[in-house]
Amino acid sequence: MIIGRVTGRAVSSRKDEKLAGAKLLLIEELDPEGAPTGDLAVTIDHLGAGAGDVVLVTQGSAARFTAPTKDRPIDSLVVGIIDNIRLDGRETFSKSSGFARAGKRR
Amino acid sequence: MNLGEVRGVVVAGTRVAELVERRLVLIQPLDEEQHPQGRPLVAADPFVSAGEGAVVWYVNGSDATDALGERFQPVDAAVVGLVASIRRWDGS
Repeated sequence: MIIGRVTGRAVSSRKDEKLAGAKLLLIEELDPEGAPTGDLAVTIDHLGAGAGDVVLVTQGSAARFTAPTKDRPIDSLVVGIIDNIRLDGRETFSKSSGFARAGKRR
Repeated sequence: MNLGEVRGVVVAGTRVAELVERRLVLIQPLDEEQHPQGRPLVAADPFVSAGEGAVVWYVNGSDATDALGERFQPVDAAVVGLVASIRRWDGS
């Protein structure tokens, strides 16, 4: 899975029938210290993730392994909203205070 | 399968119902010389003993869910083994 920040929402008026009702989020991939990797993804979300949330995203066919995404043509899904990240013995992110390294947020 | 080092953990209390695996670890992929290669990723870890610094094997893609019990989980990477030692046939 990758770590990402919700940066926007995509709206599609014409789409595959199997995507009806799906909420599409724009996700910016982050490294474990909060620096953007430069990659973006459009991701399905049924957890209620909102702007600025740091989320866990599953990619590929495993994204279909939930009841709301079963048999849908999707390859990316928000599977969790991240509360905490620890790297090399220290906390790099907490939901309440954001990423520890200043200047890395956007 | 790939070689990686456990570098940390990710906690996500709000999660999809199908994601039942409790422990999610940050893995730094390693090359055959055990040097870092590529970006860190998050993997489900059914081996709760894979602590920080442990070298592990992990699988990517939809195969990962096969490492996690009977029910499909929306997981695209999972630890499948702890590496005790690696020996190359050229003796290094």
